[in-house]
Amino acid sequence: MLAAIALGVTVVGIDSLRQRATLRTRPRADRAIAAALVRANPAIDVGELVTERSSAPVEAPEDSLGGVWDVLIDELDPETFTPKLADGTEVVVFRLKGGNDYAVCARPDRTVHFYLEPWEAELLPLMDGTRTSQELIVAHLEEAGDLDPGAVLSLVTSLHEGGFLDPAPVDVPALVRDRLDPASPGRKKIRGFFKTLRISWDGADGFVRACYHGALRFAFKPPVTAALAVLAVGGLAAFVATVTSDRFTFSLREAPAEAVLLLGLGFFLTFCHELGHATVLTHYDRKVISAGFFIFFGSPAFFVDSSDGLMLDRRQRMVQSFAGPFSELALAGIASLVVFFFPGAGVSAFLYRFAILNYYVILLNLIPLLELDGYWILTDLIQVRDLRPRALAFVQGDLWHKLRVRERFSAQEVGLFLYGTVGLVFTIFSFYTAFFFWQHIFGGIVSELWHGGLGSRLLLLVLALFFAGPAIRGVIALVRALAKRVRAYQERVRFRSQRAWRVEAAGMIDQLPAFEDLPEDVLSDLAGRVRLRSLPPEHAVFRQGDRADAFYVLRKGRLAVEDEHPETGDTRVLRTLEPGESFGELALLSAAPRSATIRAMTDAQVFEIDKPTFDRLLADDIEAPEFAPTMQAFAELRGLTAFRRLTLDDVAVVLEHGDWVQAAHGDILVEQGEIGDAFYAIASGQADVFVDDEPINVLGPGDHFGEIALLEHVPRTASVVARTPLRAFRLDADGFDRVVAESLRRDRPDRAPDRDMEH
Amino acid sequence: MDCWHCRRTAVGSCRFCGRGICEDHVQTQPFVLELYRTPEVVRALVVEDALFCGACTPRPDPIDLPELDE
Repeated sequence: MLAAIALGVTVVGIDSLRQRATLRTRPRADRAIAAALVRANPAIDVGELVTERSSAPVEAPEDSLGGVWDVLIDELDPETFTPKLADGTEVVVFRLKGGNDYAVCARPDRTVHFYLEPWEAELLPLMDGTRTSQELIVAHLEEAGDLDPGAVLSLVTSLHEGGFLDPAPVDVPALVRDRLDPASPGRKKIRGFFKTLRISWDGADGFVRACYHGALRFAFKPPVTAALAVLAVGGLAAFVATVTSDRFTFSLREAPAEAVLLLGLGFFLTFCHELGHATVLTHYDRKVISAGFFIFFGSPAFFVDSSDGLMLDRRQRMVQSFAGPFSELALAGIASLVVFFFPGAGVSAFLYRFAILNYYVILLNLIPLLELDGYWILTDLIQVRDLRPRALAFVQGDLWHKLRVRERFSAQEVGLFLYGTVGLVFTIFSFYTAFFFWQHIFGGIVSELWHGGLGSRLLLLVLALFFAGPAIRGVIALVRALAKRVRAYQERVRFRSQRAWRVEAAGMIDQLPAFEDLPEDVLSDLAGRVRLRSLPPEHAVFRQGDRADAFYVLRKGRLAVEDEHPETGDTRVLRTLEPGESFGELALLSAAPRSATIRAMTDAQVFEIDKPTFDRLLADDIEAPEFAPTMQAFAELRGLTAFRRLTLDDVAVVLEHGDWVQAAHGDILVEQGEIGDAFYAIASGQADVFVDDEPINVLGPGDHFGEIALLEHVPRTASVVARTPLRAFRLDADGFDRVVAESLRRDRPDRAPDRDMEH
Repeated sequence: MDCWHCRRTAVGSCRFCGRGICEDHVQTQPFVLELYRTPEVVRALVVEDALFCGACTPRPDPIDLPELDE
């Protein structure tokens, strides 16, 4: 029992630690943004600008290399890539009751599926090999009103890498690795099994189709389905009656041979369970991707990869999830009816245990607290895709924060709390009952092997290692996690002993004139990260020309700022620093080498804040005259609809390459037929759009124009004239291109389905 | 030369982009040294474990360059 509880706690504990580590991760601000922001320019007159730029000759880009290099750059540029969806790619959009609509697309061979946002699904039909990614960005902009090139390019890249586009990518390094591996395919499979405790068979679809067309298709005829249901319900009633009669016992401690037979029958049942899921897939003309055998928390089991079931509609998915337990219910029903009607038969005691084993597995499968069939039925029923992950994340993270700050819980949060806590408790309980159950079934054979001599003991040990492999790995992971915790605790103790000077450091930084009213959380974070360095006289904190890697505040003593002559090496003291003064921040902000040497004149102590901490906590708050207006500009730019979803880096680029422009009534902002050199986003005022001198549209605050000429490299398709006094942000062509390029560096979302469709 | 990642002294350079790499940050990746065509199949001479910095992006799939066909 203790082992079972320990195992349960192991799994929950590891999961908890992992999730907590994830929750602790915080996004880092990029100090480069501050450097870019400082270069923002004041507004200029747009009429003059348009006249000036339209008369300028079009020149080749400065960074053009010419010849094949330009061809290569163009070929590698994802904006010019022309995606063509592979023939046979399927897309299904699912509309959920409470919103959160989503889509799933399946590769033509139906082995890979991606979750998509609905807007992404709407873009897929446009990927017909005639439009570049740039044009898709325009299409998304026109449709959704968001300039979010990164999202569109990420979608195209993910689809390409996932094999959804023609031609499919070839992974040369993977091919080379495979060819260099001398092992035969069989050996590779065996090696893979011992590594992953899992072996799969890709030909399962053919086998299931043969079974379906041979006999199992009749199970979908209403009379046969009804008969099986009667068998299942009747068998269950007979089982309950047999249990209450106390005629049979469950324990198999004295009959190890029967335990082995029961184990074999258990495998057969699991096989029928998986076949039930797979048959429904075949019935709805979906593909069984693979099937196989794996060790699931120490228990050997079969599995079917039925991810293609993600393409089924809600009702069909529920049928597919229920088919596994239903097939088991029918078989257990037959066994229970035999026991009930022929209690004196020699096989009845064995069948009774067989029925118990089945009903126990069915119960575990149908209780919606574990991610098994019952859970999938429930989530499809209530149309919530990620109930358990959300509930567990809430219980392990937000719940404690809300309790600490005594915040009210919403109805949804109460639901997540109840589901999450009951789910956790049940997970532990299920491990306990599983141990209890298997102990009664197989305790006899384990005892027999243990007392059967050295050979059988060794066999028992090997079997235990084999079946308990995942649990052993879990324990190792737990020990590692605990060791990490212990180290963190030691660190905390050490930190407490340093609390006094850390608080002093935070206070001194807060008092610095360069910073104004640092938030409390920043000060607290700083206190945790600051280091105290002691310096003997004549010792240098850093030297002129060194790379800037920290910012300092003098705590005690006096320091000299020395300038070293680059040729003679002579030094002269420029000034001295007194306690409370800071130094080193300018080199950090400008990413320049140290401009002077700082040397201790007496015994001294300095607080040191390393560059990553400075970048993250202080760079944005430093009060330098040139930063204040750009921070305001930054916020103003993010207020425009077209730029609201840009990353901080992208906004910095936009500020660097753009200006705020004012236009009076009648000013021409863009003229049809001109070469496009900028993109505009309107902050206030209105503008008329003319095509061939015919007014076709009126643009207002939040609207944008000019992107088509930039993305498609065509002349302006319309003229835009200020209807009222107008203020707009003008982003030049280079900046527009860079925003598209910069967004490529963002992390790509994980599109793999979160639903584990291996039953 | 310094390591691209940690600025310590590099012990090698990336086969794909030339960045310096120290022992702690070194990775390996197969590198196709030469390709030649036999009547049946394209064969390749490869370095199984060429040094790789992990910062550059060797594209796993070939790209079309019809301009070089001439």
